[in-house]
Amino acid sequence: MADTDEFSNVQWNVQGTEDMNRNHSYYNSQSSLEEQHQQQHEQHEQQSSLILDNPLSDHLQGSLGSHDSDGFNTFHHSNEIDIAILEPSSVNVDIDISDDPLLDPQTSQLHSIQIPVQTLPDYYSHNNDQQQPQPQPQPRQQNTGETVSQSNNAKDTYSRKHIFVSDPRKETDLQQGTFVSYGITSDKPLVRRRFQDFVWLRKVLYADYPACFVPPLPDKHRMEYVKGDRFGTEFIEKRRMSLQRFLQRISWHPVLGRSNFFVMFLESSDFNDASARALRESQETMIDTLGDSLLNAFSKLRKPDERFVEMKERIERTEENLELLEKTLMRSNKRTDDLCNDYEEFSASIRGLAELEANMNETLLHFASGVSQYAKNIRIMASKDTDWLGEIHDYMAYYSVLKDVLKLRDQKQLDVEELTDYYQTTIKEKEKMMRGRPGEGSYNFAGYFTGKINEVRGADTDKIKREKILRLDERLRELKNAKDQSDIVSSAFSDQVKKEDHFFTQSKSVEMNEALKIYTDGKVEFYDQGIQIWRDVVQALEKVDPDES
Amino acid sequence: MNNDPNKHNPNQPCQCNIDRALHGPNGFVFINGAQKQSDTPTGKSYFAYNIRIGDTETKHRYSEFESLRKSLVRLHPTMIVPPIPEKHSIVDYAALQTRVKDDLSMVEKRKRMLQTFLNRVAKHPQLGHDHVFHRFLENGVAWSDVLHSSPLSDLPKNPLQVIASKQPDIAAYEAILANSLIPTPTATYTLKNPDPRFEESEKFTYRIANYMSNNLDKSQRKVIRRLGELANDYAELGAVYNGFSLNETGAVANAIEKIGQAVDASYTETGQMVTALEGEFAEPIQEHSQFAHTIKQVLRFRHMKHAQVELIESSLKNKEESLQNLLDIEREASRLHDAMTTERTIGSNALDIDQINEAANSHTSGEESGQEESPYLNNDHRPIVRRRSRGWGGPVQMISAVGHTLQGLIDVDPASTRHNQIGKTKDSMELLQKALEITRKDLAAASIEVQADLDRFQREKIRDLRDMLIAYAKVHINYCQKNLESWEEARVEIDKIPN
Repeated sequence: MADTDEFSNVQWNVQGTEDMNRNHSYYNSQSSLEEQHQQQHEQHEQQSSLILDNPLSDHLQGSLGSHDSDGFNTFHHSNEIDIAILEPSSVNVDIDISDDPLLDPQTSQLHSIQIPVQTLPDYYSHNNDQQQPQPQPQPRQQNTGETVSQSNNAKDTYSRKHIFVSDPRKETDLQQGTFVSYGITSDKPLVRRRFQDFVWLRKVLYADYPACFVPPLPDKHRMEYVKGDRFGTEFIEKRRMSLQRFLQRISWHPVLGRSNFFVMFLESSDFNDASARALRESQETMIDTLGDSLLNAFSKLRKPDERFVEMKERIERTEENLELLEKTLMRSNKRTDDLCNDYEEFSASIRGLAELEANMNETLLHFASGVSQYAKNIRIMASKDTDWLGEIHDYMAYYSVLKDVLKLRDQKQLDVEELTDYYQTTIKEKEKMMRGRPGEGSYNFAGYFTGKINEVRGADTDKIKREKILRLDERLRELKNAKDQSDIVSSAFSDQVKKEDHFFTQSKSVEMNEALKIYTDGKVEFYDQGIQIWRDVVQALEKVDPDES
Repeated sequence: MNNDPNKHNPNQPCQCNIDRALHGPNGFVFINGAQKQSDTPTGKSYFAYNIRIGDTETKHRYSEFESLRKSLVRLHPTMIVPPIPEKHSIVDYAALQTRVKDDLSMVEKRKRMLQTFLNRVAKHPQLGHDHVFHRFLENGVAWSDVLHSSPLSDLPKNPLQVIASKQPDIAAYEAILANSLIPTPTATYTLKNPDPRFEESEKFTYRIANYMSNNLDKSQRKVIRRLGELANDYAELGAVYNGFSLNETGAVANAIEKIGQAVDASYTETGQMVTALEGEFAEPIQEHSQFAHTIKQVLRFRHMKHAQVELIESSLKNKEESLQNLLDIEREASRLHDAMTTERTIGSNALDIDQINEAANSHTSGEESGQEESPYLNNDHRPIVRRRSRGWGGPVQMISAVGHTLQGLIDVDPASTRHNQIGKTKDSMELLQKALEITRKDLAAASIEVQADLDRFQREKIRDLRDMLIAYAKVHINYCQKNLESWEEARVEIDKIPN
């Protein structure tokens, strides 16, 4: 059951992305061309077009649907096919049989559009079985039916799978140049992937699951590229850890962990074939152009949702804490490293003294080797600290993903608010029209003059008015529809974010547990061994009788 | 007066109360406090340290400790007198103006190190019986009075004019060494016949002294300084974790809070370790680095004593030669005189006069160039002369040389001058002979004493070093144990995070 629920969410997410992307990319091109004061109006039209662009809302395509070019449909279409070909799994099929509240009235439309996907050859269907244990004919589900306990169940089923990234290898390819590939072990046979492949995975997941907290990738580390340290052991090890964390996080995620992209990433044996790579690359560039959805930074939400206001504040506070922690930890780590060098120098100094003081040679050497050992252990402990630091760094990136998703959610809400505004204004206009007589609305000069002119022309004012009201009614219907839809989108998005947040908190607790365990184990081990080292030193020194030598 | 038994015969203890207290069962000297006091005439304030031995309590300020140490060095130039904490550098003083807290930590450090100093002196086989030291510990004795009374007031300024060893039979002749005829070696004097054993010790001591202060002390200080910095980092980190935990909820918050507490504990423990290492390792290392310098000085003194013996030897030899020369001239003169009175042959006389003049001239020119003897007279001793000429040549010699030249030039009465000279040289030789005898004995005894104290010190040093290293290790054990406890507590809390 739980699985089903998760899935139904995924589906609309996919749809939602496309809507969103289209909407905003469109927007941008327009706003760059049009005058500022026109933007507001345009926006409203865009809002409508968001819905209208949706191939499911065909019947709405009328006066407002002029923007809806074939290009979008084709694009949408081709996108689906691309993914389907590339990725022999079930996203599209899922969509078809799924039950999206958004798509409710237009289910048939969806099917008709998705048909090419459904008729794809059978070669992906085995994945289908694997991916979807639930029966194909799926009962309709409402988002409201989702509960926390369900996602808990989902977590229990999926979270414990461990993925390891290991054995980084420098490879040289005639076409691709030199790069590092990483071995990835899950419950499936080992595959090798390079950093670019991870980038691809992140991109497709980000594009397809905008309401999910898609884990971040390690930084590009431009400095290392410049310095030529790209193949340095330390750099690669850091990256390896981060990549492992990245995959682990995806696999634990109830939605992303079962996405076809991820499964393909883990399993596909021809992943690195030139054709597959070329396809992915073209796809990536496409996502790139869509991906940068600039949000309307100037509009403020009228009714900020308290749940998300609280979440945002929490995220920001945590981010601040993490930043501070990273800074302080880095400093104390650097100092610990220096201390280690100091101890080593001190040990060398004692060794030097041992050479001078022949009588005490043995005693001093005992001591010096104790100090060296202690210094070595400091270094081991410091490396654990560095791992923890890497964890913190990745967390900071994760939190910035969270913030982006929240911004996107705000945008969805903004859509609803603006459509509602427009709807209200139109209602007022209609009311005025029905109430008012020509010439009465003297404050409205334009109206007044139109009335007069029509009178002069001898036109039938009542008829004009009726026509106008009819037009307004039509518009109101459209707007209502659009408003309702975007409302559904927005609240579904919000619900998913809420679930994501819950999941995130849970998985964070799991991750924290592991990371802190390693961190504190490092400390406990260090101090424990420290006691032993120094006890041995004391024992050895006490054995020496100073009066004998 | 001159031969205070406490000074030159430490084998007979002074039997004063302090001596008994020091060598009794409760012989430990405590410095149990320090008070800020102000100097009435200058208005400057200083710290007076409370010293207690048995029931006797007294107070001394740092400068008095310094003066006590100097006095002990003067009284016992062959002994390794333990060091006192170093004076502040000007930089320290400038920094101290603004930081009272450091001022207090400096007083604490001095308290510890001065107490160590007093106890080291007390335990020393010779210094511990010195009555001057006892008077320092006595109640109601003004230190300036001790400084201005015997034996300190009687000590000659030049340490080489003191009988250094504890040989009672030669102590009475100490005044001879103050005679202007006794040569004083310069610091750069190279021994003709160095003692290979001491040569070895000198080399070793120089190496150790260098190594201690330039290498070991520096590297151990670096560790301590870094630990201090790390403690501050931990303080900050602990606060960050604690702030972090407030923002989290449930088990994660508890775990992070506990980690914060563990880091806070690390801060406290690291700070305490720094203090412990300062007291139990850094200070003794510093002390031993100072010890190495003290030994350098003791060896230097023995070296000078040896040089003094060699100079007296060569001075005596010179005198002998010049006496021989004078006697030769005398003999020649009397032969001439006899010849003149008997034969009165002008030719031979003329020849002889020429010879005499030549001899006199070369003699004079030799003295004018700062050399006491003319090369004509001791060609076969050339290398010795060259050495000595670098060695010493006091104003007295210069004046007598000038006088001699004038006499030679004027030649009022060559015969009586010569007689005078012969008499004087004989007197000096007698004195030098006596001085040589004394200094040789003194050097031999002093060498034995120095060697004995070096051996004693080497044993003490090995024990000290071993103890210091053990203390260093124990401080670390304690540090690790405390940290282990707090981190284990944090670890338990982490296990409570649900996964």
